[in-house]
Amino acid sequence: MIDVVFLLVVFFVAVSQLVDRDRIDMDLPSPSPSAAHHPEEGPRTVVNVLPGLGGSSLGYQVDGIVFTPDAVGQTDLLEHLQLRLSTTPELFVNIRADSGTAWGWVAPVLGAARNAASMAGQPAARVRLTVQPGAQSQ
Amino acid sequence: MSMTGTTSITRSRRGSSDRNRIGVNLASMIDVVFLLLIYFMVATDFRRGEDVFRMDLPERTGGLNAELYEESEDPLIVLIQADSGSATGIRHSIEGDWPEIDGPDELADFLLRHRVGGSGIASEAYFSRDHPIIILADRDIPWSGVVAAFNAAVRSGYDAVSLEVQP
Repeated sequence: MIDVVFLLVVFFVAVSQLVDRDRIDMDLPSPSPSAAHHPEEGPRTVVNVLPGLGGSSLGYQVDGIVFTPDAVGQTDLLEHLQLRLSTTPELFVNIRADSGTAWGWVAPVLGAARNAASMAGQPAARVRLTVQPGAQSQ
Repeated sequence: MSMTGTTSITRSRRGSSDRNRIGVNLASMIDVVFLLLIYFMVATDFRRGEDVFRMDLPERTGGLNAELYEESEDPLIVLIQADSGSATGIRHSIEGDWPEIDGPDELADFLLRHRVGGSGIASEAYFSRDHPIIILADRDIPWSGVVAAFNAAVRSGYDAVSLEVQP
């Protein structure tokens, strides 16, 4: 029984670390009926657009690093994504943003992903928009 | 007499052996392990998996400052603008000589009706599945509104949907 309990403890420790790493708690959009699908397997990096007050953003969190939502931060984000894409060309860039965050704060992430892919010599950025799973459309 | 003597010797030997054995008291460790188990069970948040929309952003030919879209076909541009008069605060329209659209569901109907192989009549099916669609939204539009329009286009069967900021 002690063995089983130890295994359970190890399981919960591992799961809690895995779950919390990239998924910042926020209210993702949930379109319904949704045409979104389950993400295909592959290397990915997650860009969290940290929600602020009144639809603003506090910054962009990627791989545990927070970039400020100003021009300097966006340039740093671009360089970080370029570095990731140059080492992992098949990388997916998953974008997570709160429902209430204004589009003007999310758009720079798309621009950074596109430019990073271009500078890394790739024909296209493999971007995925993350949403809550909802009722699937027919 | 002899039986009693043997028993007392055995007891004496066993007692000596018990006193000399070195052991670890596991009771406190088990308590701690159980507490850890309960803590992680309570603290672990099993969230549902998230879904995604795939959106490939093609490279801009001619450098970063070049025109963003240089498709061979004219893209269909869906405008999303803030509208204080509307119940949702968002107004949808399609650039060009198209009727007004009221909300993402109506946008999905419109796009499906005019898609080749869609739900409309053949003479009004102007757009193929890979016809480029650009969703051009104001900066202040909430992300959920932009995603709803994107979802409507994908739901209608279009493959080349992208997002842009209204300058």
